Amino acid sequence: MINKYFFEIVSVLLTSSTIFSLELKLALFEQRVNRESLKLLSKLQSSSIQQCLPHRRNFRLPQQSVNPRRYQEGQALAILHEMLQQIFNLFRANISSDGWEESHVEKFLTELHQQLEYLEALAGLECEQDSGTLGRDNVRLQIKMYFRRIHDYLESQEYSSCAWTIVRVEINRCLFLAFQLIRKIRK
Amino acid sequence: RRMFSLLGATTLVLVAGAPWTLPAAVGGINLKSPQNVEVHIIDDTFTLSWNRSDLAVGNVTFSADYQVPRNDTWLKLPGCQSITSTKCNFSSLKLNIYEEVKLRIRAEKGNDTSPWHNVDAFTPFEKAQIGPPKVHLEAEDKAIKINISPPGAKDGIMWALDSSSFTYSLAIWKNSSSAEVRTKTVYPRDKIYQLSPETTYCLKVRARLLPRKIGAYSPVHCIKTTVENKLPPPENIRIDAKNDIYVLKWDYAYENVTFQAQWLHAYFRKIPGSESGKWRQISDCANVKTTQCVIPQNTFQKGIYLIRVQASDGNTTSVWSKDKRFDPQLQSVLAPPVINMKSTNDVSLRVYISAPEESENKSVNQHYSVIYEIVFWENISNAERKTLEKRTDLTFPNLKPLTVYCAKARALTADERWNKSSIFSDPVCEKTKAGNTSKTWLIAGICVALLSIPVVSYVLKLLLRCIRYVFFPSSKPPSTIHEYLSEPPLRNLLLFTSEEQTERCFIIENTNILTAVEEPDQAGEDHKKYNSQTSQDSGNYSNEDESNGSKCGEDFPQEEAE
Repeated sequence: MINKYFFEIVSVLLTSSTIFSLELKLALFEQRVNRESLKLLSKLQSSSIQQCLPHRRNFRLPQQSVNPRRYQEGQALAILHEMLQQIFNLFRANISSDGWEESHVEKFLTELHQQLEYLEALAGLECEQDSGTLGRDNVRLQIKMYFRRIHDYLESQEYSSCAWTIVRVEINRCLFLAFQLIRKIRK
Repeated sequence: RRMFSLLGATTLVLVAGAPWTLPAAVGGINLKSPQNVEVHIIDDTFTLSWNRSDLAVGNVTFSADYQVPRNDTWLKLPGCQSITSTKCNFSSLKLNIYEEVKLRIRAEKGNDTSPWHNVDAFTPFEKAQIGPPKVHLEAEDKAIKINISPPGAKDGIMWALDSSSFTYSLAIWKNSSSAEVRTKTVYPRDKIYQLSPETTYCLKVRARLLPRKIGAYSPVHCIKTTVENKLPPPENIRIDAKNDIYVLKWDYAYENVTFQAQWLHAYFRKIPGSESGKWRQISDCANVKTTQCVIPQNTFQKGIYLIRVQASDGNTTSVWSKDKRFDPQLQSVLAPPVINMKSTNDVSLRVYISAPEESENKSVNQHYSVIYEIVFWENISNAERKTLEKRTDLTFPNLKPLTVYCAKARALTADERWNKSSIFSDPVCEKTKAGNTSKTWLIAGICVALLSIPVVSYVLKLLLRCIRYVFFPSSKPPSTIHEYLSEPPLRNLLLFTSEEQTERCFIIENTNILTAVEEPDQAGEDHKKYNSQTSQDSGNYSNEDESNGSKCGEDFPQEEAE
C-alpha cells in the first residue's frame, strides 16, 4: 500500500518532473507487479510446493552483480530493463500452459509490458553508452545467463508443473532484486 | 629431400623479410601461422577466417582449438580441423554464448606445424551481429500489413532470449522513381498506414537490440496495394474518459452502416506471430449504428490496449481501422480542485486549494504531480489574473477594499508529457474587508510592540546583570575553585576528617609538642612550628594553615564568605 503522503513528499523533493513521473510509475509498478506475482504464487498450494521440493535447483541469481549499490541510475535502469524483459520473455510463451489461471499471467505480462514501454520511452536507455564501463562483468550478460539456466532447466524438466512451480518461486526472488533496483532509481 | 630443402630455402628467404614472425624451423620447414584471423558471428552462424602466410607452400591445412573458462585444456574446434581453404564454420559447437571463449589456429603440413596464432578472447553474444529478419507482407487498399519473424533460425540459441526484445525499423518508399524514403519503428506485427491504393511500395526491415546492436537490412520486398475498397475503415478513433465510462468515438462518412470494435493487450504486439485470434470483441460496441459507443470503465484494467473498429453495410465489411493505443491510466481524468477564499484584514484575499475529495470514481490526481492554474478577477471587470502555482495556499494582496473578487482553479499535470488538465472548479467569490489604513497601521503598531517586548526585556535583563556584576559582585567563588572545593570536604568526611580535626583540637586545647609529633603530613609539621611560637594565636594560625592548602575544609567556606 503506497503511503498517501509519499507522493507529496516526493513531489517536493524532486524538482525534475521527468524523474518524478518515472519514479511514480516505478512505485506503482512495484506495488502492482508485486501483487500480481503474489497472486501467481498464491495459486500454488503449499502442498504442491512441498512435493516439488526435490526439483529445486540453484539458478545462481547474480545477486552480487546486480547489487543496486554498485550502479548509477542509468545503469540501474538498463539492468532493470533487461531483467523485466527476460521475465516477460519467460512467461509470454507459456500463457496458456499448465492450467494456470490465464488472467493472472495476462495481468502480470500486462504490467511488465507497460513498465517496459515506460522504461524504453526514457531516452536514457537508448544511448546507454556507459554500459561499456560495466566491461567484463557485463551485467546484462550475467542476467541473460541466469535466464538461460532457467530456460534450460524448464526444458530438461519438460516444462512440468513442478518445474514451473520452482521457476515461479525463483522469479519472485528475482523480482525482489528488481524492486531493489527500483528503489535505487527512486532515490 | 632436395625438394624439401628447396622449399625450406624459399621460405627462409620469405621469412627474411619478416624475421620477427617465426622461431626456429621445425623439421626443416618454417611453417608460418595464419594471419588476419577473424571471427564472424551472424545469428547462429560462427565462422573463422584467416589469410595464408605461405602462399608458396603447398598442401598446407589449418586447424583450430578453443578454450572455455574454468577449463585449461584446449579442445579441437569442430568444423575447423585440417581445413584446406581459409575459412571454416564452427556453428555446430554448442558454446555458452554469454561466456568468453578463446580460439587459436595454426598451419599444418604433414608432421610440421606452425606456432599457434591466438585470437583475442571474445564473448559470442557480444560479438554476434544481427542478421536480416524475415518479412511477410499483406496488402490492403491503403495499408500494408507486416509480419516480421525475428532474425536467426527458429530454434537458434543466439537470440532465443531476445526474440521479443527486438525492435524493428522499417524503410518504405514508392517503387516509382526517386520517391522519398519513410522510416518507421514497427512491431513484429504491425500495419503501415497512409498509403495510396494501387501503388507499389517497397520496403526493407532491420532489427535492433538494446543497448547497441543494429542488424542488417532484410532484402527489399515490394508489394502493390489493392484497389480502393468501397467501404473505408473508420477513422480518427479516440477515447474519452468520463466518470465511470469510456466513450469510444470515430469518424465515418457514410450512413447506414454498423460498426464493431475489438481490443487486444498491446503486449501481444511484442510477441512475434501470436496476435491472430487474440482480439476480443467489445460487447458494448457490437453492431452499433452510431459513430460512438459507451464502454464501462471496468472493461479495461491497468495496462496498454489496442482498440480497432470496423464498418459493415451488410454485404461488405471494411478493413479494420488503425489501431488506437489506449492506456487507461493516461486516459483518466484529473478532477478539478476545490477552492476556498477568505478575506483578510489587510485588504487581501487568501485562496486555499485542496484536492477533490475521493469519490467512487477515484480521482487520479494523487497519481500525478499537479500544479494549479488559478484565475482571479474582479467581479465587475473582465480583467483576469492567471497564475500557475504549485502551492495550495496563496494570497492576492493590495486589492480594492469592499470589492467582490472571484477565483477559479484547475489542476494541470506538472509533467508536460502527460499533458492533462482538469476542468475549472466552480468560481468562488468573496468581498474584501473595508481597507482601513489607520487600522492597518494600528495593527502593525501593535504587532511591532508585541514583537519588541521580548527584545526590550532581554536588553533590560542584560543591563541588570551588568549592574549587578559591577556593584554587587557575586558571592560565589569561580567555578574552578568551587569544583575544587566540592570534593575535599567529602573526602575529609570519609577518611581524614576525624583524625585531623581531633588533632587540631588537640593542638589548640593542649600544649603543642606532644601531638605535633604524631602528625604525619607536612601541614602537621607547620603546625608544630607555629604552635611552638604562638600557641595562643589560634585565628592567625588557622588562616595560615588553610592557605597552605591543608584539607581542613570545614572552615573554608566561612572564610571565603567573610
